[in-house]
Formats: sequence, C-alpha cells, structure tokens
Amino acid sequence: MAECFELPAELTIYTAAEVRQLLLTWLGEQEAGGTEVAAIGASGVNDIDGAGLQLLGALSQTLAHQAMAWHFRNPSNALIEACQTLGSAAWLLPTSGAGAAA
Amino acid sequence: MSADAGADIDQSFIAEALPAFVSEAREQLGAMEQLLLELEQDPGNRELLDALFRCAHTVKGSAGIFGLHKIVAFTHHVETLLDQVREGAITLAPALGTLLLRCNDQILHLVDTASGPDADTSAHAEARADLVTELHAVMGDPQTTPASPAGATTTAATAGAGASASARWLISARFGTECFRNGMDPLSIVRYLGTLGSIVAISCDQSAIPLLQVLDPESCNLSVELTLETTATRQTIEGAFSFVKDDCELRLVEPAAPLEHYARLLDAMPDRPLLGEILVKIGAITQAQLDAGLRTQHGTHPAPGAPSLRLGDVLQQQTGLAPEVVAAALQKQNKASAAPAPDDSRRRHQPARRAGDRRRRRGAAGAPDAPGRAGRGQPADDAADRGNS
Repeated sequence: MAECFELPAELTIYTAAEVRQLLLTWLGEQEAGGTEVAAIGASGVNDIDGAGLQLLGALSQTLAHQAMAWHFRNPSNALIEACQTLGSAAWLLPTSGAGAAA
Repeated sequence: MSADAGADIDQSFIAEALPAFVSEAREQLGAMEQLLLELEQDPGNRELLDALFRCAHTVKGSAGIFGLHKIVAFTHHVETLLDQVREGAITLAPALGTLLLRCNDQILHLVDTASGPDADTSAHAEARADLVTELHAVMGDPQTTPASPAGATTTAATAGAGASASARWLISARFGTECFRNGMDPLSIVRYLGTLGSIVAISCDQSAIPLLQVLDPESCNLSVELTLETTATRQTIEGAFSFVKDDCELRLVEPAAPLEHYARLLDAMPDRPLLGEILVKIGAITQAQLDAGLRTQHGTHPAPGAPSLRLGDVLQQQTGLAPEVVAAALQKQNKASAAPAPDDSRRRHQPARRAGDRRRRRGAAGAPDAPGRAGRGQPADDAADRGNS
C-alpha cells in the first residue's frame, strides 16, 4: 500500500479521468489502512490546467469528508503557480486537514 | 505566442503557405474597407459591425499562425476598438471611420510586405504608432496621450473610466459545465486577467466541487471570486471572458466607483427615458449584461396578478449593480419621462415595437440616425418601460 500518491507530470483535462480512477483506488486503500495523514507527491507535475486543479479540489473535498489530513510532498513550481493563480494557495500549507481544507 | 515566433516556425511551410495568407488577408481587408464605407451610411448596424470585427479577428488570427507579429500587434488594437464599437461603448462617427480606413491601409501594407519585412520602413512604423495612439485616445485609454481624439464620440463612461486611476473590481465567475470540453481553461482566463492589472485577492469556491466519487472530471465546476486592481475598462475586463461568455455566470462590481461618479455622468447626459440605455451609457453595466437582463425579464412569466419582474432588480441581481446607481438612473428616467418630448437628436433607438413606444419616440422622429441599431433585435424600449415605469 503506497502511503504517498504520486501525481503524474501532466494533470490536465486529458489525464483527469484516468488520475481520478487511480486516486479513488488509492483512497480506498488509505481508508482501509487507517491512514491519518495522506501525502500527495507533486514534484513531477509540470503541466496542469483548470481540470487538473479541479481534480485536486475534489480530492481535497473527499479527504476532508473522510476526516483525513493531507499535504503535498515537494510540489513543483508549476503546481504552486497554478494553485496560487486560481485561489487555492491554502493547499500549499504544510498540512491541509479536515478543518483546513473544508 | 512570442514576438519572435516566426523564427520557430518551419520556414518551408511559410514559403509554401504565405501566398495563400496574403491573398486571403487582402480579401478580408477589402471586405473591411467595403464594410466601413457601408457603415458610414448606417453606423449602428450590428451585422455590419460584427462582420467588420470578424474580418479584423481573422486577419490577426491568420497572421499569428505565420508568426507575423507586426500584423498581429497592430491589428490587435484595431480589433479591440472594433469590439467596443460593436458593444455600443463607442460610436462609429465619420472621423473614426476615416481613422479605421487609415489603419486598414497600414495592415494592407504589412500584408504586402509580409514576405520581405525590409520593405516596412521606419516611416511606416511611426505612422502605425501614431495610429495606435489615436485608437487608444478614442478608447479613452489613460496610457496613451489623447493628442487627437479623431472626432469620435466616446461615451461619458468610457472617458470617465479612462481618466480615473486604477480601480478595484470585484469579479465573480462561475464557469459553465461545458467549459473544459469546449477547450476553455479558467486558469488561463485568470492568468490573462492578471495581465490587465494586479490580482490582489482570489479564492476558488471549493464547496462547488463535488467529491471525487461523483466528480465528472471533464465537467467544469470551478467558480472564482477575485479582486482585480486595474485601469482597464469594464469592456476590457469582460473581454477576458469573451470565449466563455455563453457558458459563464459573470458579475463585475466596481466598489471604488462612488455614486457621485455615476451621478455626475447622469447629470451630463441628455434626457434618456430608458433605464437600460442609461445604465449602459454611464458604464454601470455593459450592453451584453443589459441584453442578458432583458432576456431574463422577458423569459419570466409571473403568476396572474403578481408584479412583473423589474429590469432594475434583474440587473442588480445579475450584475451586482449597486441599488443606489439603479435608483439614481431611475430618477433620471422618471424625470425625463415627466418632461415634454425630449429634444435629443443623438438618441439611437430600436424600431418601435409597441404603440406606446412610437408615441414616446415622437421627439426623436426625424433624427438622422434614429433607427441606427436596427437588426440588433433588442427590445430595450419595451422592457425598460414595462419594468420600470
């Protein structure tokens, strides 16, 4: 069971459906394993668009719903810039949790 | 695309396809000239104005494919102005028509010298710079010197906005579900907004995004609120959303615009008894917002006996317009309605749709440009009267 979910290099409308499936599978494993703090590896993201950010928004919502804290691990500059641009800079804080992400 | 994009493009492709571009661009420019001449007789004709805008847009777009950055850069200014003209913010006065014909000549020159850029002399470049200054003077852009306003009649609102310092706009955009699938990206739109000034705050409504389990990742649920500090006009800001305007709920509020600003503009206006037109003319809302408000008002059928929707209320709800501004405009409207037939030869009205309108329009009969915006299909008189009298 991977403790950290590695985001792909491309997080866009073209990959969103596939990444969503992978995330759902991974989330199921985390829930079963009783993970309290999820890590999202984001060092490799070099192409992200609105659909990619929306996917992260849905992930954030879902983790909050499951009362699971989470954080980005080594977010790339592309990811940081996109989060800041579209008003989601809170995700870049050390730990977004049930309270922080809600 | 960078200014030097031409260097990145396969030169053999350019050599092969450039003649086709030159030929097509000449056709478009010929059509623009013809349209400008026709508009001299019918300056408010929306179909002609739309066609004119499309021609400029096509030339710019095709030139961009070839990395012809001089054509793109210069035509962009013309296109921006034409957009404001077709939105009703600027009137196509004869002097402006002449200015646009001169711009047309310059674009034609650039097209003709596309294959041999050396033929474009510094004198031509200076002439274009002067034309750009004139275009921006017409648009009321504070960043250029309004040396020669080209005799165009700019609305008081545009002039007022141009003269003021930067304002803080509160922008709220709920992007439609088809946004992604139509190839549009809210992230790019926000980035572009950032180039118009400074985004001092932005937040994305996370609660509008469904849980992962039920998310359709290709449907857009994004919704942002941001504060933009800019000297840009409402039209320019709205322009950032032009590609998604049919699929986006957009509200623009200019908190920095005090009531006195609008009151001053209202006082300076000739009497115009139509609420919607008043609000557009003073720049409190755009023509597009008025059109949307009128569609809502017309599309709503209240129960028998219930009061019909008031246009002012609809506009307040849809655009975030301050109630005080609506009240001031209504006051203006009512004052004008109570007065004898207004002597306002500048009025540009829709064809009368009701007997009441015809009666009310007596004062404008005989005005040379009275039916100016025929073809726009917007029953402004009808709606404003019903909603607010």
